[in-house]
Amino acid sequence: MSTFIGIAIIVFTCLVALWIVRIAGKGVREFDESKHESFLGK
Amino acid sequence: MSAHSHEQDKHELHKFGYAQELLRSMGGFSNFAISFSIISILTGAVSLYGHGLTYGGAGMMGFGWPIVALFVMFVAASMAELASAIPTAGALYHWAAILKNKRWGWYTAWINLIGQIGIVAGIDYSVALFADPLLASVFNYTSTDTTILIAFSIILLSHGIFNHIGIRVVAKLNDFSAWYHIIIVAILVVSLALFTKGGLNSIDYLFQVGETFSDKPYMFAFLIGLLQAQWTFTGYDASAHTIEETVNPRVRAPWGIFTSVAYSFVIGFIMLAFVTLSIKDAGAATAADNAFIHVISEALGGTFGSIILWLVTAAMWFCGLSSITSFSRMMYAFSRDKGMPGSKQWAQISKKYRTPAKAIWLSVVLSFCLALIDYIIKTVNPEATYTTIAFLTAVSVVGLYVAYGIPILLKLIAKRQGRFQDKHLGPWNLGKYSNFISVLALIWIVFICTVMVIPPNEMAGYAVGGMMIILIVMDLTYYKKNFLGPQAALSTSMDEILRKERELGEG
Repeated sequence: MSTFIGIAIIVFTCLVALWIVRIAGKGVREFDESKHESFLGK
Repeated sequence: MSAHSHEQDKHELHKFGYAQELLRSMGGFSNFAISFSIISILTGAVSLYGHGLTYGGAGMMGFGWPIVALFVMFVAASMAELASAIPTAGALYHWAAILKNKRWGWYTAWINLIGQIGIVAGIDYSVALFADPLLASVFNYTSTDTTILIAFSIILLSHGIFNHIGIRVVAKLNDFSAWYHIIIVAILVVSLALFTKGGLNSIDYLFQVGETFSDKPYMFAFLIGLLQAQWTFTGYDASAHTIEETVNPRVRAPWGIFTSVAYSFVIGFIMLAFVTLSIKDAGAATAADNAFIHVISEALGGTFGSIILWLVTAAMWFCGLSSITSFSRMMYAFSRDKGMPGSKQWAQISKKYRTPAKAIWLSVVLSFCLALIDYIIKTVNPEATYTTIAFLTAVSVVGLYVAYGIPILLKLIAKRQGRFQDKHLGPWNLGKYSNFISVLALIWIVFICTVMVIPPNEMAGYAVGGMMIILIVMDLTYYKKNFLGPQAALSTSMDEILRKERELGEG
């Protein structure tokens, strides 16, 4: 049972990594410089 | 990369009031490589292998490593988003200062600095812990705390020299280091898979829980053992600290932060799995001076084991090299905003090498002092039960993760107040999942920082607490009134910025 849980955690961690890569990749592809404003903390 | 892109990168930096003083020559792989080299699965996971095995048994590698990696990915993703939005070398400190105010920035910088001292000292001490016994067997002397300290000093010195002579050399060594780590892990894994005497244990052994070689109850011991994985996953802020030396930084640096963690998780797990599956007697391994050396020697024999250990020690050396780069850039950026005593000195750039030479040597001296203090304490009190490596690594985990957490928290607050909006996000962002991921990251940081200072690591808590008291005194007596913060740079005229760049030959 603990082997099954351990492998499930590893697979889940890999899927989370791929999910974040997908979200961030989308952000990079769809970035519109004209709508961006630098945050200068003024 | 075209000249146009280089101008864009400079223009982005000018918006924050800073000149392009450092040499911008790092590509995406170099930026990834510096964080991957500092995470260095062959340093953290290996030097604290005995710690993890002693407290959590074999299950520490099967469960501890992926659980820590999962939550660290949330921290890395949250930081990557900030790096893309605010691409300056001050990174954590600069983010905190402009998301809230200069005092938050000042404290973040110092806490980050404490963590950086711990990580450099911890890494180079790890190199010394492995190199000194190996050298002792070659040159026929006895390895002691004193010879380890001497080896540590020589290693630190070598890192100072390489960093001084230039980012191009260091970037090339970092690139090599990334490949070197992967190749050494591959050699180690294949060797263990094919040549382990008596064969590997069954896969169930890797996920075996309930066995600890400490005097603590298992669940408590397991939490203490998490230091092994948690310390390994530190230092990836290096991709942000070298952001002013990276081409197309708003995309490449965040990828460097995140992918260095993700790849380290996968490659590190494969390595730990095979090492653990080759254990013959876990009790004997934890009782040995160095559990990793014991396991490898038992599995592969003395000679082959020694060769592997020399290769691993070299990987650790590369890790230390990168960590000095990161530390010095952080200190350079903070001094540029006059946040430290003697700031004018530490912010100076070597005209010949375009590196913050004085900040590099200050990093070396501070890291040496931390290890020296620990050496003196242990000389005075030989009965001390904690290990030097656990002390140094716990200090770095707490310092670094508190510094990672502050800007993430301030980003959430600034968003809630409507000051930080979607238009401020850089190209690398987490979209609608940003807040969710940031909250998970913060929960983990609070949890792990608490775990890192409970006994037997209470000395790390005292050290960080003591340093915090010094910081509060410094703040209240001087910096509260006199520190201007990175906001002051915004008033720098373009003429002044261009003059600084001309002085360094930046066209």
